[in-house]
Amino acid sequence: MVQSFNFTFKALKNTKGFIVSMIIMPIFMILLVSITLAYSKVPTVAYIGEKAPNVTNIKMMKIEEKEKDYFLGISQGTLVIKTNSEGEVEKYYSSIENNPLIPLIENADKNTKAFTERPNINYSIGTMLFKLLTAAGLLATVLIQEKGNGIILRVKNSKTKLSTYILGKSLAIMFVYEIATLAILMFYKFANYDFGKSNVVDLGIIFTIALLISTGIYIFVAGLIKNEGLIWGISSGIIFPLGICSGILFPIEYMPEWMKAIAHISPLYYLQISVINGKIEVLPICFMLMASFLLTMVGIKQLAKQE
Amino acid sequence: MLKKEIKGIVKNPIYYIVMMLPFIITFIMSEGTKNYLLQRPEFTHKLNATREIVLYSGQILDAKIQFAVSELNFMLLMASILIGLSVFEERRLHIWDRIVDKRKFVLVKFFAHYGFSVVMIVFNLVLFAIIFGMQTPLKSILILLSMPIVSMLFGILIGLIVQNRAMLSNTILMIVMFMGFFGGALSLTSVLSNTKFMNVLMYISPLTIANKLIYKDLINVNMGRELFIWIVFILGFAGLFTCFIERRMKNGTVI
Repeated sequence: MVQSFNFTFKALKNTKGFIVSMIIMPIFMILLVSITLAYSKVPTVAYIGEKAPNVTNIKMMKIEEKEKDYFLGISQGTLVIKTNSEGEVEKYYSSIENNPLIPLIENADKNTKAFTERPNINYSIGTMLFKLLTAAGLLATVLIQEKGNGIILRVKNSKTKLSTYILGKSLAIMFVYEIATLAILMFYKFANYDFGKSNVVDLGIIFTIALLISTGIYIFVAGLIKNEGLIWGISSGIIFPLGICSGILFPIEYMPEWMKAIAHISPLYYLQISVINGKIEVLPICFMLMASFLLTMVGIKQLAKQE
Repeated sequence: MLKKEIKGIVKNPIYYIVMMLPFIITFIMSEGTKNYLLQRPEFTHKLNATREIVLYSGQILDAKIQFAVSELNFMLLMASILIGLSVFEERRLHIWDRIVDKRKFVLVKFFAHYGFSVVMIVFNLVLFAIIFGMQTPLKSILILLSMPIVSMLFGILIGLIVQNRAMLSNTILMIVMFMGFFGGALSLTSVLSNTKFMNVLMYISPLTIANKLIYKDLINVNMGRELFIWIVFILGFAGLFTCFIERRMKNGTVI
C-alpha cells in the first residue's frame, strides 16, 4: 500500500501543470464564483447624488440619473433614491408600491458607518464541493488506464492484494486533494470570507467527506467502464445536473420545491446544507459514506474480474 | 454547395439539441432564481414616508426574461463551435485541400450556419412568447441577429487555425464560457450589475452589452451610447476576423 501510495503521489507531483490545476485554479475559481454568483440577502439600493445615506444591511450603489429606469426595470422590488450633498434622501423611486426598503432607510441611524458586505462562503461552496465530489475522477482515469495496459492484472497475480493497491492509490490522490483543500481553506480564512454558521474545522470535515464519497463512486465507475473518456461524461452529465439542483449556481433557499426534491438524491445537497447550517447532516452523510464503501467493494471486485 | 451544407445541418442531431438549449437553460436558471428576485414582497399596509415617492410604471424584467435574453445570446456565441467543427472536419478529411474557390466555400459555410442561427433565434423567441409571454421588439431582434455574425466568423477562424478536434472545442468552449460567466449566462444580470467589481468586470464580455441593449429596449429606455459601442464592436471584430481568415486561407491550412 505504501509503495502504491508513493508511486501515485510521485507520478502526480511530476505531472506538468499539476500544482496550477490543483491550487491556483481552484482559488481563482473561488474568486470568480464569489463575485459572479454574488446572490445576497442584503438588498441593493441605487442612489443618484454625491453621497449615499449610511444604512445597515443595505448595499448602496451609485448610478447616473439616466440609468434610473434601467435599474428599476431589472431589479425587482428595489429602490432608487435621490440624495443631497449631505447624503439625505430627497426623493424615492420605487418599482413597487409600499416598498419595505423605504422604512429601513427612513429609520436608519445616520451616525452608523458605511455598510460593506463580506464575501459569503455560501456563494462558492457549491462549486468547491462539486470539484471535490468529482475529484476521484482522476483515480478512475488511472485505474482504467492500468486496467487497459495490464497493470491491474499483474498486481492481481502478484503477492499484493488488489484492494491494498487501490487503497494506496486512493490515499495518494486524497492526500494531494487534502493539501489543495488546506490551501483553499487558508485562502477563505485570509480573504476574510463570511463562514456563516460554519467554521474552518467544519469545512475541513465536509471536504474530506466529499472526497471519501467521490472515491467510492469513481472506483465503482472504474470497475464498470473501459473507456476513460466516459469519466468526463459522468461528471458533467450526471453529477453536474444534480449539482445545479443542489445549489451550485444559485442559493438552495430560493430554489423551487421541485428542484429541492431532486436535490434530495444528490450528495452535494446534504454536504452544502451541512455547511450552510453549521451542523453535519449525520444520517444522510453516514448513509452516503456506507454507500460509498459498498461501491468501493463492488468496484474492486469488478476490477479483479478483468482478464 | 449551399444545398449540401444545409442538408448536412438538417441531418445532424447536434444542431437540434443546440437549438433547444437556450429555452431549456432559461427554464432551469430562471426557476432556480425567480424566488431570489421576489424575496422582498411589498408591504400590504400603506407607507407613510417623509419624502416624495415616485412609482416606476415601466416593465419589470423578471428572472425568465433576463435569462431568456442572456441564454439565447450565449448559445448564439456557443454555436461558433458547430461552424468551427464543420470547417475543421473539411480540413481533416482533406476536402478543404481539393476546394478551388476557398472563399466561396467559407461563405457558403457562413451563410448556412447563419441561417441556422436565425432559425434558432426565431424558434426560441416563439417559445419565449408562448410560454413566458415575452414580446420581443424589432430592435432587440436586430441585436440578436447581429450576434451570430461575429460568432460564426470566430468559429471559422478557430476551425482554420487548430490542428485537432479537442483543441478546437476546448478553445472555443473556454472563451465562450468565460464570456458567459461575465455576461450573465450563469447568474442574473441584475445580480452581476449590483455587485462590487463585477459591475465593471462584466463589460469584458460582449454579451453584457448585447443583453443590456435588449433589456433597455424591452424596458423602453433609450439605448444611448451602448448601441454605438455595439455597432463598433460588431464591425470591428467582423473585420478583424475576416482579415485573419483571409490571411489563414492564403498561408495554407493543411493539417
